[in-house]
Amino acid sequence: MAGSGTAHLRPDDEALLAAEDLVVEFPVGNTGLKVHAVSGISIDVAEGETLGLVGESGCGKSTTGRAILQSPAPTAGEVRFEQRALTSLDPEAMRRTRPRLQMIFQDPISSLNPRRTIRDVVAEPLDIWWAESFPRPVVARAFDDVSRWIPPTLRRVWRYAHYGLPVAGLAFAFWVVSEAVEGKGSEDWLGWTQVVAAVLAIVAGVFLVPFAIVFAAMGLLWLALGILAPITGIPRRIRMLRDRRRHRAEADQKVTEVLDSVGIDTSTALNRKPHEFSGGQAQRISIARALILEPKVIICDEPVSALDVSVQAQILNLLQEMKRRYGLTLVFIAHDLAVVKNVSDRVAVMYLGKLCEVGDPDVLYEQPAHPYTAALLSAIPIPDPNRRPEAAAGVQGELPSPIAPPSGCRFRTRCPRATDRCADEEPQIGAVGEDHYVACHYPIQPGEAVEPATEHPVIVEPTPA
Amino acid sequence: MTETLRQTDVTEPTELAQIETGLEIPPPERSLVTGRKRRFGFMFWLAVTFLVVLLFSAFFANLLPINDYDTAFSGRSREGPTWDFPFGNDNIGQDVFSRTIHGARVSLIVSGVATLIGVFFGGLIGLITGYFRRTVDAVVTSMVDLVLAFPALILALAIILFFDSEGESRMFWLIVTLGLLSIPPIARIVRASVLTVADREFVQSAHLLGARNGRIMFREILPNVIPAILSYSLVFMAVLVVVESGIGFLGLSVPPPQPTWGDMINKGRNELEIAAHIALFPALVLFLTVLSLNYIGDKLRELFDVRESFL
Repeated sequence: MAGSGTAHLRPDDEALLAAEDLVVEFPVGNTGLKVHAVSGISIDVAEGETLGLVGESGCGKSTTGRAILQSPAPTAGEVRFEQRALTSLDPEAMRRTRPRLQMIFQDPISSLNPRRTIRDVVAEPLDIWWAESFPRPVVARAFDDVSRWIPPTLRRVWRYAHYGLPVAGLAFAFWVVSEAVEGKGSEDWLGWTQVVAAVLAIVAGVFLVPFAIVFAAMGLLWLALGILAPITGIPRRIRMLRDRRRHRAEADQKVTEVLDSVGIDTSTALNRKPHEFSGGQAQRISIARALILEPKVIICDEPVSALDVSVQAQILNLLQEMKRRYGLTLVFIAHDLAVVKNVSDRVAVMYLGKLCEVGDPDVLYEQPAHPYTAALLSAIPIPDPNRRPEAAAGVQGELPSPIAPPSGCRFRTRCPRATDRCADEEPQIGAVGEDHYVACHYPIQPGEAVEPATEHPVIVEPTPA
Repeated sequence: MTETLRQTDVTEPTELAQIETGLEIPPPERSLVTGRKRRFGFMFWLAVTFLVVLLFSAFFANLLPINDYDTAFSGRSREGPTWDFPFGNDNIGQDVFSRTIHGARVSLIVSGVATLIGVFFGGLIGLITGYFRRTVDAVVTSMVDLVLAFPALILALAIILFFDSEGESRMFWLIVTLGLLSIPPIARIVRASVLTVADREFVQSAHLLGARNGRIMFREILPNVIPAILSYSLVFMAVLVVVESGIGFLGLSVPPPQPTWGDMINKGRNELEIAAHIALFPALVLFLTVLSLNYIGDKLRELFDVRESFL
């Protein structure tokens, strides 16, 4: 399964959020190697839908979620939100779009600033955008633009200028030699070493001096703007001060409202710090913070993985309730298949940066077409003391390194069905049923038994007609 | 996520422990004054008291009922400590006690203001560098390393002598030089602290909410970095006190008639056999100042470290 392809994507006007051929690669230190976290994922979510994104730890599902939110931006690929491409937006425009796309994190307590009270944490989005409603002076905007423009420009100039460094080094070496020779009193040697040193120094200067000038000029400009910007911003600050009381009252009301709706007792909680809450409560607070800007899409990055099972159920119910109340669209990233089945309208299974299978959860779970999905399902422990867990159930082996993923289908090293074709050719995603897509050369047909043959083989029953 | 107990959260552990192990575990120390668990201890408050008294005396030195620092009391040359002259007299007959207090002014002002300069600019630089990384980091870090490669004392002396060879505005140049030299190390420390904070999830979530970089830096990262910096800057100030005294010992601090600790120790060097108190008292006060600053800085660091580990 090295699923590439976009056959499973719905037409543009149906998808609220769509990612096409997303690629995220991280460089490994200075070695030149790359971690291929996400390699060609395409998924979409329709409005009001919950997309479940499942996979083992390390398969790139969290990275996909972050890449969709452009934080950090993906290496390649396009992300479309409301039919507008996010990937081609400039940073400022992207920042203005962010209130509509929110995220909930896995670790509830560390996603809240430990030095702030809950009231401040949940009110922060409102504070941010209230401050934004006061336009900043020209100088401040110029400072931002200049700050953003300087590093790439310096980098570009340095790429030409840095050759001056070895030349300067050589010039220095020759100068040292000439000084040494001077002591010895050998006229010809002295003459030409000095000349060479001088010439090299001039060449080095040609490379380096412009850079030094550019650097100094930019530095001075940046400093000047940096000092002027806060000064010219004083009138704006005064205006903000005057409006502060009204804003605070309004914000407090909204904060109380949203905290109540997520089930936090506002009469006692508002002035507490995050570490004074339990994991479940902290996750509720995170959800409240994500909801307060009334986003359209919330990406939930393993929101219940760190919680007790009983609390998981509460949070999942809360998410469903909030989805209904606020009209949300969710992308639910998890590694727990049972949880994902409960919550999702559509499930996508990922493996090592690629997509395996996409489809309706009921269909997927009854009739998995991809060997990986089938293996994952067989690994779900069944709470029945009469059934013994199969030694051969589940996926054997370990996840290959994302730095050097297997050729062709990335699952072939652990797949019981792999052949040579799987090593040579990367499977493209294609339909195997109504709204059921798989990327495999040998998808499991309905009625087939899934290897390895065991005492209790997983038989995929054909759906009754 | 390991959770360690904050000291103030410990309510009744001892009863449980006694039930289970039968051991006699003494209850946590309770402050006589507030009844709460003693967080800082006696030494801490002693150090604070010392520094406060020193600061107070140095600030109000001219108003205090002490002798003039440059009055040479005739006939009292090299006299040991007496009731009238608690620290004795130096070789000219000047009151060592009074001179020590006036000397504290120079040391404290120079080290204090220089530390403030270092923290302000170094903090800004560290914050920007640690947050943005990539190009900014590479450039600034190489500049910082360049300055750090020089031996600080020699560089300080070179700058001071170059700009102020007459000694007219020595205090100003001392402050400027030490301030400039303290920027790189503090920037480094702040940068390291910012790097650990910037990867935390609440910073990412602030970014996802649409906060500007400036807001994230000053409202999310800075409050989490300040405690560590605060304690470090106290220790750093202690270092600067020593540096200033070292410069004074070489005769290059604020020139006479203003007394400085380093100068007093230097002048007292020759008298060590006959009248050791001339050098020893300023040295003692210097020692206690540095000790107090270090101790307070350490204690604060401990306090803030406990809070960090809870998370």
